[in-house]
Amino acid sequence: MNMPTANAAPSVEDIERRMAQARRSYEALKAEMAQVIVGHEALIEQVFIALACGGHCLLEGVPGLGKTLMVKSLGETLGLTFSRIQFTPDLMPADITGTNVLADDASGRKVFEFERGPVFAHIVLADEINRATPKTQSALLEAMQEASVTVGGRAHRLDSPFMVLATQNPLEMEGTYPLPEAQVDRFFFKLLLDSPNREGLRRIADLTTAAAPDALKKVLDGAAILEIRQWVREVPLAATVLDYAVSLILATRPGADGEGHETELVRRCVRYGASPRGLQSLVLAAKARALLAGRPNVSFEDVRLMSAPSLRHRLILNLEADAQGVSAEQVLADVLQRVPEAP
Amino acid sequence: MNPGALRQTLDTGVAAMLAWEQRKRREKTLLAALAAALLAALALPLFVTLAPPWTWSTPIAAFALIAPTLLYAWRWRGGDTVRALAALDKALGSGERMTTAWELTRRNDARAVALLVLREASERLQGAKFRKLFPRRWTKQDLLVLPLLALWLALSWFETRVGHSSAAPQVSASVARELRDFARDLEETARAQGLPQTTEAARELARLAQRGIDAQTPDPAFQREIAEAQKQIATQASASAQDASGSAASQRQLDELKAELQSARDWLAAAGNASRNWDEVLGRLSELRQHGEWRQDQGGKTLTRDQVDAFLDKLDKRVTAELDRRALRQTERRLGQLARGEQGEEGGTHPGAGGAGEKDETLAQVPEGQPSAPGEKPGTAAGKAAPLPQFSVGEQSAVKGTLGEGASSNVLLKGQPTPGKSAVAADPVFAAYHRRAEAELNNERIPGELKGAIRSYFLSLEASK
Repeated sequence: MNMPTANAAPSVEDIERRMAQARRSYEALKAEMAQVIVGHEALIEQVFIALACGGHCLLEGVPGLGKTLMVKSLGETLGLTFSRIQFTPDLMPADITGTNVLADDASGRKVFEFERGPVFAHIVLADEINRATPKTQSALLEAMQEASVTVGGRAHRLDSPFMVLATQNPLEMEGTYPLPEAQVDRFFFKLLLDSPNREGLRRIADLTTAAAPDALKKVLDGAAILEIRQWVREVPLAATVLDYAVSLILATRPGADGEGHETELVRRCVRYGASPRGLQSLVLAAKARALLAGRPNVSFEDVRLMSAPSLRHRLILNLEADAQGVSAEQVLADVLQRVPEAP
Repeated sequence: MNPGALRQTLDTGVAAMLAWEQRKRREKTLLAALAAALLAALALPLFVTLAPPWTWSTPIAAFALIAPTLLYAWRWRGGDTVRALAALDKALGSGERMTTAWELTRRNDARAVALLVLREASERLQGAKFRKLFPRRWTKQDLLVLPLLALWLALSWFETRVGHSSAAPQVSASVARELRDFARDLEETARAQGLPQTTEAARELARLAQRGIDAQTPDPAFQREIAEAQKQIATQASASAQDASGSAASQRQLDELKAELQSARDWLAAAGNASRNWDEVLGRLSELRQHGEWRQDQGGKTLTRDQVDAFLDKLDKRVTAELDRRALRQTERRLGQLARGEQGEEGGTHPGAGGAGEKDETLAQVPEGQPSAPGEKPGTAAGKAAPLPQFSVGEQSAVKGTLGEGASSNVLLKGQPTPGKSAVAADPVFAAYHRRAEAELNNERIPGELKGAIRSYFLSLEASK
């Protein structure tokens, strides 16, 4: 790819070329993944946005919806290394990060040599992450936040780009360890997989019972992804739009919004609202979406559409919400309806 | 791509849009002010009576007061610009390019991405018809001004055309007219009874009433003027009380006493210095006889003519002052009724006549359970009469008298009837009865249809005399 270097001051034409390139990359990835993934276009877009922002995704859905297939296909199309970790209760942190093993060096001396774990990959699928113990889950914390792991007092950098896609099954709660809020907050997006409709089911049946499809083509590489991450951060954001995003965050906090946008549902059902990390995710995701839409600036719609994946896992609901079956999505929809775009 | 040209295009376009929005804001503000002014003009007469010039100028004055206030309160602010730009983005479907470009130009952001936003915003802004994108939208509140205006015009027209001919005078000068009638009657009666202060007060009241009628002063305002006049009358009555006798005599007795005093003067004038039997003649006048101490022997001497004249003068002055005081008090009460908007009561304008429910000052001094001297019930024995206040006529005459007691006035005729001659001079008798009759006529206790007959009777007597 012919991209300008980060240090050179880009021209307007460069910006236009970047936007077109990012758009093309996304369209190519979507088209390639559509060969094996039925539906989930919005989900694929959100995963790509998280990738473009350097974030990690928590995928939640019942078994058989193609979570693992989607992540695996994503790794293939990006031409990045991919690893899958099946989380089980007996999984140990060292099984993820790697461990020091005793080995002979060139002179025949015994030395400890670091054996890299499966976390050392560009795309890591943490399958059924809530089945592992908290100790093991927390092994991912440093990797997700710092992009490095420390074993035996020595830090090891992870490959870049690095992205964790964790899945969890919302139905089977027996013998699971729900992710602590601190860890959930480190996920850039929480994405929900819906069951396919009739047409989707027909296509799934066609695709999976016929001849195996050709291997997916590589449409992006790591360097291109890193460039896109840089472009995303350069998308301008109007103060008015930023104010709107801030108002949304404040409106999710019971008793914290002094502008009168707090809804009755928030007061009643929310224990803790979105964190500052939620605002960062929201703004960054909105910028990435604007870039993918071929727009040089962030719009209110970008913020609005990115609010659910960015904030749904950051709202901590109370028992009353559980009792009344109120979900975070309902709360966010209520907040979006209440908070005006322009002041 | 010329950044300066792009910026100018954006600035020009946004400025035009903002000018249009600000104009609409001003129009809406002025409409709201007009509606408020009309509402005020419609509501104000419910609380305050306005003179005709104010009827038309009230909405103008209210508008002049409200419009600047609203224009200031609803002035264009920075937040309005942001909202207008957001609305423009929505109308043009430009994905907040206008808003972002506007902010970037304000920040003098010269990055390439900022120029790209500016260029795309300028392209979308070119050829935009703001008046079509943001047409005037009249809300129900805006349209309210039309029915309000129509209502106010209709009411103003009705008041101007119809009210001036019929309703307005009834409303605006009815109290003044009532006062004028009252003042005229009062003056006539007071002049007939020779009450100088009441006569003067009646003239003042007549002038006040005429001014109110000429100016078409509204009733509430005129009632305030009447209240002021009432205070002056009260002051005047209090001042005259010092000269008055403070007598407990009834109004009727005072009237009769005054008539007898006049009769006595007439008789004395007719008799001249030659006559020395005034003691006997004056003693025949019943009310005057109540003050009969003048007849007592003053050190064994009979009063001289001058002393009698002095006594009569002082007594007349005191009686007149008392009648004046009572008339002023009565006038004050009547003015109070007019000031309160109450209807006049029976008793008319006679200076001494009390209104309904009014307690006679004389009666007020009588203890409960005792018959009142002048008003005791007919057919009941007059028990022990309450002691009545005495006239103090001064040291010279040292004559004391009581008023208020006794039966109706009469003239005792004494002497041996001699055929062809009368021992009593006709003139004083005639004068006494004539004045008594005039007093009765003025008291309006005589039915109206009989007044003419009574006057004719006395005129015939005078003619035959």
